Amino acid sequence: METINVICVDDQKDVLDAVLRDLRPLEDFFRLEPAESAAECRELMDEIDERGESVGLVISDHVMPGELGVSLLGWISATPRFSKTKKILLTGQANQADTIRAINEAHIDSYFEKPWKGEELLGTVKKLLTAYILEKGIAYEEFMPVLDQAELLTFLTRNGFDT
Amino acid sequence: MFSSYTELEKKIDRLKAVYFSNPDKRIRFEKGKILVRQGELNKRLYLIISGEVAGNHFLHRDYGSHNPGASFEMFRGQAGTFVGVQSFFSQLYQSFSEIVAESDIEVAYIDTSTSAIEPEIYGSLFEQFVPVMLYELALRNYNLLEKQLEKEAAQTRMHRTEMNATLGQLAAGLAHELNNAIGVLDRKTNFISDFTEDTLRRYLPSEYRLYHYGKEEQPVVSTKELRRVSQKYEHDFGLSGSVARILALIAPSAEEFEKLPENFVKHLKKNYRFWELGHDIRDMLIAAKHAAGVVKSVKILGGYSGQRKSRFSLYDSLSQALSLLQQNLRNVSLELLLGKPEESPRMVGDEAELIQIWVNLIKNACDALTETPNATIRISLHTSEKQAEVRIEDNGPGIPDSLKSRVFHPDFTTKKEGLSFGLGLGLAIVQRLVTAYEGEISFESAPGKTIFKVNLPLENGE
Repeated sequence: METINVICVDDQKDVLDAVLRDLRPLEDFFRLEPAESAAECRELMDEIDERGESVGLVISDHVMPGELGVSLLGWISATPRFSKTKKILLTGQANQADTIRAINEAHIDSYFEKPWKGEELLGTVKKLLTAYILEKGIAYEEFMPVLDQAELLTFLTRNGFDT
Repeated sequence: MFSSYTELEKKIDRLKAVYFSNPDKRIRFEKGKILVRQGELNKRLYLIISGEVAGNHFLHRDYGSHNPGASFEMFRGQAGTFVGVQSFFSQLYQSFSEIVAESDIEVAYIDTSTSAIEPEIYGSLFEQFVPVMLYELALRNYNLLEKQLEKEAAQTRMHRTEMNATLGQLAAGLAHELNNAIGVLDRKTNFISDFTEDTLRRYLPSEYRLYHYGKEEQPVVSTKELRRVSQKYEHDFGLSGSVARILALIAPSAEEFEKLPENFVKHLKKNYRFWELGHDIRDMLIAAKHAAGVVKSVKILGGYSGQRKSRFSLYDSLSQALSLLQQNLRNVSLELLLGKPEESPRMVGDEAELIQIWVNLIKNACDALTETPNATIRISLHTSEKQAEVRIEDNGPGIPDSLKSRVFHPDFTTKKEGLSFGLGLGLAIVQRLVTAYEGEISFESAPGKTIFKVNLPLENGE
């Protein structure tokens, strides 16, 4: 099975811990990685890339010491190696200008406000990872139990069931 | 306002010399005497030779905030000013205001019987005095304008103060409501914690061990190191990512791992949820404490003070603040010049408030040092007979000149973009607290050296 990483970035350990816990049901299928800063996330992504694995999704907080979340997600979206990586902004403190920048420049796929609902976050994450797997042409059968069925069905209908 | 000697002034000076040098038409008034009352007949135009007068206008109408009969000052005149210009030249001969001698004065005057001098050159009396009328009216207009602007500025200031007070009250009310909710969360979490602890210890001793590991303070290891160890465990023991991470937290090094009992990994794999339970309760307790702290800050800013007075040593308050900030001080080298604990000056007040002052200042210093190589914070305590001075110095990039005037303002923050109520409260609260102790806070800042100084008066007769 191809190793797909999911990175969560938050400078607050307890928040990071809670996000990872919400994503626990995906653990047998994806590698969940915590990072405490944007810099650590960049470093981690380089390592993952060198190992020949992929980064399917980055969930990032916005207000962190050092680099802001929106800037990190912008970098990811502008880096060809990670152009297909999905991005979620999870924040309680972004203002309107930040949010506009997140959409226009960082091209985020989803926006969550703190406090978030675990089930909603998990649902969105599944959907985005399903899209990622299908867009990258990764063998999706192995991920079946955690894929978003609606997303999969739409894809298969469009591309024929024998792809 | 008219500084250069102009044509206008030249003309006015001629009038003063020509019309107001008759010794028969000079009068002295003692201080407090009224030259003319408002509405009274006045057929004279006065020139003040010495002393000072004030012109007060009495209100007939009710303007809401001013009662009828209240007066306000229209103008002030010193030597060289004309008085009665309006009533004399409007030919109403009725005074617009009451003129009072503010000191002993001497005035010269002309009246309606005065006739024009050299009319063939300078025209009629009326024509000759046009410059005086214009000059006086312009001066009076200018004074009124200044008064108006002053009043507007005062109104703006008052409005801002009122707004701040309202915000403070709002915040205090909100803080009170939240405080109760947080209190419940904190207490109930403690109950759950106690019950869980007792029950596990009694019935599930080996799971209790895991629970306890989770509840204990975590070792200070970088996430990078943790990731390395965790990947190793994952690989060595075929663990899932999250169990491997827990194992790495319990045993971050080979030595720690050696100390673990036999079959521990197997046990952890099966029962890691107990570790998480302990960890969750720990996070909940910390979060409740944090929330309570934020609420307290807002209350203090809103003017609330639930002061509990006690006598405590400054040394202790500083060392308590430092122990609260251990996490922040990880990457900072700390120099302490606090003297001996037993010789520390003592203060009377709420120790928690003093700790809050130090925590805020030291945390700011830490935050300023994130990008600084050889980050250093020096904290020193200097005592004299009447006061103690605490200095907190860092070698960070310093406060930019453009921000220096605003650092104590309640909505000032560098810690995030945009406006927000929350993190920016730090220095505003510190200032408020220091002032409440009749102390002073000041700072000096340049790249590589920023010092915050807090001076606190000590009570006599220690």
